[in-house]
Amino acid sequence: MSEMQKKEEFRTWLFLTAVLAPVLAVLVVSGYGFVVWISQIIGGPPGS
Amino acid sequence: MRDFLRRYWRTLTRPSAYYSLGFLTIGGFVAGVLSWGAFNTAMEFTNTEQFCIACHEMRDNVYQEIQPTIHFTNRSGVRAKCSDCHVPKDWTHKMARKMQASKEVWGWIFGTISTREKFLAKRRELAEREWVRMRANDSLECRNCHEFGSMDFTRQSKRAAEAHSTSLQSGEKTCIDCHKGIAHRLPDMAKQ
Repeated sequence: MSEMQKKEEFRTWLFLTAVLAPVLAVLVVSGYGFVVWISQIIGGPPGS
Repeated sequence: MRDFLRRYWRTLTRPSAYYSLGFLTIGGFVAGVLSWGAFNTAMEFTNTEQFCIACHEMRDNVYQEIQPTIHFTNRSGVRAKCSDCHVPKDWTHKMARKMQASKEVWGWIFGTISTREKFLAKRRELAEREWVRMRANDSLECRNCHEFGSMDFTRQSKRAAEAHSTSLQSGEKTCIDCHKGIAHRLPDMAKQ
């Protein structure tokens, strides 16, 4: 049981740090980029 | 599957029994540094000329056109690459520009400008978009290198000095208003 739990904890940690967190970071940044782009479509290019 | 998810959800929400707080924190920190570095490296790569001209649309049209211009070949060897003029340096606007590039990927997939003829037919629209952008940001990408305050009017031609000391100085005009078609050929401006 304990070996199994240890393995599960490590896998969970690895999934979080190597997959979930980077994917979320990229999604947040690209989502932000899209929001800014859409706001530029509505409000015109920056500086105008 | 349900059981699998429930098991891992429990592991996720409970304090670790086998890994120290130190390992988890430092490990997470190191992974964060690595992934941010990788992110920026990838971002930098999309700013390289090599990346831009990987597609024939860019390589065969605009890249050929810039080569004889002063922004590519000149006596001092300083030169502008694609992203110097076409990608904002400010982080927010850079990300927005990178996302806009998804439209370019779309165009690439469907061959919007896949031939010279299609490109020529479309280039007025593409050029107008860049001109509107640069007029709005007061030709920011020009000014990243060309500084008004450092211009010596006495070393400019009479016509240039006259325009720069009046319209440009007052802010009534910006670089792109006069300097169109200097790095790539102008579109056919005759048709509307």
